[in-house]
Order: sequence, then C-alpha cells, then structure tokens
Amino acid sequence: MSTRNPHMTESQTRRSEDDLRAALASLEQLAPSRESVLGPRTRPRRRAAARLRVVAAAACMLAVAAAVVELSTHTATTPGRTDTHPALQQAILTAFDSAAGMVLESRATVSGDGTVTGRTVSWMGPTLPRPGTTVRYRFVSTTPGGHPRSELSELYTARRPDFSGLGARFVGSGGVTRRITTVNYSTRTWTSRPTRQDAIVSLADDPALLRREVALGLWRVSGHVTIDGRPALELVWKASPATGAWPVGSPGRNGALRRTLWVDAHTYLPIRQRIQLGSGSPGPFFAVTADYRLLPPTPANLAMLQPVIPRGFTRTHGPHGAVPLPVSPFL
Amino acid sequence: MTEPRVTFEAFLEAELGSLLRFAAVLTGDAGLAEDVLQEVLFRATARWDSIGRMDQPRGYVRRMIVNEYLSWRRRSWRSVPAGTGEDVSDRQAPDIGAEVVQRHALLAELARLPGRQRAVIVLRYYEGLPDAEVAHVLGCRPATVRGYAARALAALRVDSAAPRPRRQLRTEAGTCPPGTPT
Repeated sequence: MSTRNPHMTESQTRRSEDDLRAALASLEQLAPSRESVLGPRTRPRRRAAARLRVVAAAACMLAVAAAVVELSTHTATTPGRTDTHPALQQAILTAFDSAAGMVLESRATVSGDGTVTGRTVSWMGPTLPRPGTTVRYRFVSTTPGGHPRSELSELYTARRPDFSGLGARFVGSGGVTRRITTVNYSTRTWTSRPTRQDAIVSLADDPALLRREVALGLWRVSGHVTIDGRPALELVWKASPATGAWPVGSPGRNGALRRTLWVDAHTYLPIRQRIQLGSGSPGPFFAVTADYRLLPPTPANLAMLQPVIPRGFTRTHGPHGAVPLPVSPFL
Repeated sequence: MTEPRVTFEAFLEAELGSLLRFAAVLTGDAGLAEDVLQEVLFRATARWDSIGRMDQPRGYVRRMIVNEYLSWRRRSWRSVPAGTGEDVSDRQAPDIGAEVVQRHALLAELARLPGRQRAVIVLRYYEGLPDAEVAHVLGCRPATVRGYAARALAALRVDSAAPRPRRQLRTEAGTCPPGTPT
C-alpha cells in the first residue's frame, strides 16, 4: 500500500511495487476486442482515403441537418438582473478547473416543434483536457422511449477551444479526432476508423467551450432558482461581438440561439444547460436540455467512455456504413 | 521448406487474449492498442512461415508489439493518454476513494514516462520478465534495462522491494538499438 499521511503532498507519496503492478493490471480493461483487431480490414494506410471519405460524409450529414433549420427570433422569458461580478466569474472558472480530471455525464432531452424527438446520453473524459492530451467522447442517442438509435465515440487530441465549428453547425470546437467509432442500430452495423478531422462534440456537451465562454464574460447571472431541490444560479448567454466569440452571421450572433446554464449555488459546478434554436413561430424550433453529472474517474466510469458494439452487429467499411443520423442541430 | 509448428490461426486462438491485454497495458490507450496490435498481426501474417517455426512465437510477437509501440511514441511524442488525476479536487469529489485517485495519478505519471522506460516497467512488472529477457525484447543489455528501470521507478516514486546493488543502478543506460522485429 502507498505510504501517505495528511501532511504529505502528492509529490511526496511513495508507492510500492504492488501498487505499480495493480495500476498496470487495471489497464487491462482498455484491451480492445478481438473483433476490432481481427475485423475484415486491410492495412490502415491503404484504407486511409476511403475512411476519410466516410467520415466526410458523416460530417456533411450533420452540416446539412443544421443548415436546413430556418432561423427566427425567439421570444423567451426576459431574464432578470444581470451580475458579472469578477469574483463570481472566477469562482465558476475555479470550479470548472477543479473538475478537469473527472468524467462528464450529460443526459439530454431533444425537442422539436413541441414534442420530444429523442434523448441522448454522453460521457466525456477528461472534462477539461489540456491541449495535446487525449479525450474520449461517447454520444448515444435513443428514441424518446429509450431505445438506442446510434452511437458515436471519438478519441481526439484536445486543442485550445475555439469557435471555429460553430458557424453553420454547433459541433466541433476543441480537438482533432484520431479515431471515430459509430454504431447504427437501425442497420445493425458499426464502423471504426482512424481519421483527422475536427472533433464532433455536441454544443451541450462541451465543457471546455463553456469554460472559455465564461472566461470571456458571455454568461451573465440572471437569478437564483432551485433545481431538483438544489439551490442554483441561473445564467443566460449572449455572444458579444466585442469578444470575437461565434462567427459573424451564425445563429449565435443573430439572436436565434438562446442558452441558459444553471450552476450549483455552492460548488458553482454546472447542473443543467438548455439550448434553444428558433422560435417555432414561424419556423422550426429545437431545444436540448442537458443534465450534467461529474463522475470520479473510477474504472467503472472510465469504462463508460468506451464504445459498445452489440453482439451480432456487422462491421462495415464502405461510405454507406454505420453513420449515425443526427438527432438535432446540436448533434 | 518445413511447415510452421503452429498455424497463425491456432496462435491467435491461444494467445490473442493475452496479447490484447499486453498491448492495452503497454500503451495505456485502447485505440492505440488496437492500432498497434492490428499492425503487428498484419505483418506477422506475412511472415508467419518463419515466425511459426520459432520456439516462442509469442515472445517474438510481443517484441514486435513493443517495437511498434516505441516507433509510434517516436512519431507522436506529444500525445499522452487521457486524464492526469492531479486536477481532481477532494472538495468537489468527496466520494472518490483515495486508492482510486492515487492509482489514477500513478497511471498518469506512467503515461508521461519515455517510451523505453515504460516498456521496461510493463515487461518487468506486468509480464513478470527477468531483466535478461526484457533486454532481449528491447535488444539491449541487462544493465541498460536496470538503468531504465531505476530511472522510471524514481520518477514514479516506487520503492523497490529488493534494492539492487548501487553499482548496477549507476550503470549508464546508453542507447538500446532498435529491436530487430518490425
């Protein structure tokens, strides 16, 4: 066992060889499946071009889905007073930073034109990656009743979050994907391939972007509320042209996008975010409400970041393979 | 020309599970483990006529995996596995067991080791190989292996149960030549 007392810092912790053996053995859970290694594929370099074409097709589908949304002005409830006290802003940033190594679980309800069209659950770890480090993101979409539709898992290298992916669509802000795995439950197929493209991350699941927006002052406190019995601060979002955030002409800059964030009043960690696009009068209306949980990086929670391929599903390699259908403009 | 002692299919049936786990522990990354093992098995199939006649084909394939991993590290030295463990706040996560946090921190430090030091640690403490065999896998001398191990254990703050003679710990690691199997 490690020798540690409360007065020792992390850098002073001593470990035994047994600690080392146990830590190494815990990595066995990362072992890929036999199928993923022995699947019907040829040498990766020879397949690179075909894989990129498939991924590009997936990206196009997402972009088209976002582009068809007709944007209009939304008449939401007018927020109350705003509060941008620097100390509060710093407290929220510090809270985000304290959860950097944890796993973010996001459970969201997707609505379109007044009805629930689907649900999603995603996991991201680490929650706030340093640039250059590896991030895992797994996004599962289901029917309103909870039956799985598709799954997308990415292994990507984080970069400093920016707003480059938020023009026509609302994904892809913080990294370059190294591997993408998709599962399509309707066709009972799946794919897994290396790639080099912007990471596809739902706007509702992007804590690195959220943190940057807080740092830029894009979130203002609008009131105190209670969510599931927990005191919370309600914040509303507004992209300011002065900050350079969000591309000019994008929904984030023309008023079509409304976002509300709730953070715990004691810990300042995010609890919930609601994103609305359009008003529905006239035109489409989409909304995503995501509830967040920050999970410790236990083996069980880290396992949630790994893609799950149901038994009996077929691996495909062609451009018409297991590309998941987008469930909303936000992924 | 003699037939291989073991067919590639029989080899996979017997050894693939342990090779999957070894690749995962060595790389600390499921995706990379998959890529490394896939690349190695692809090359192994092309040369199975000779590999299959060896006394220990598993040892040779394991050596190929180590060399492929080290080659990847040279190409992609900036990438390290996810998570640091250092950013986890006890205040924000009171339900984290101390053991889990410490193990996570140890894995993060392990991920930051240079490739050859990590390979030595995995081969010695996961595969349980004596230093002479580790040296054979890496294509260097046992003294070099001990040098790598000493530096890695010092970086990880691991107390060795059986301290080695000081003159061995002081041995200059030198440079391991790239392993033969590729």
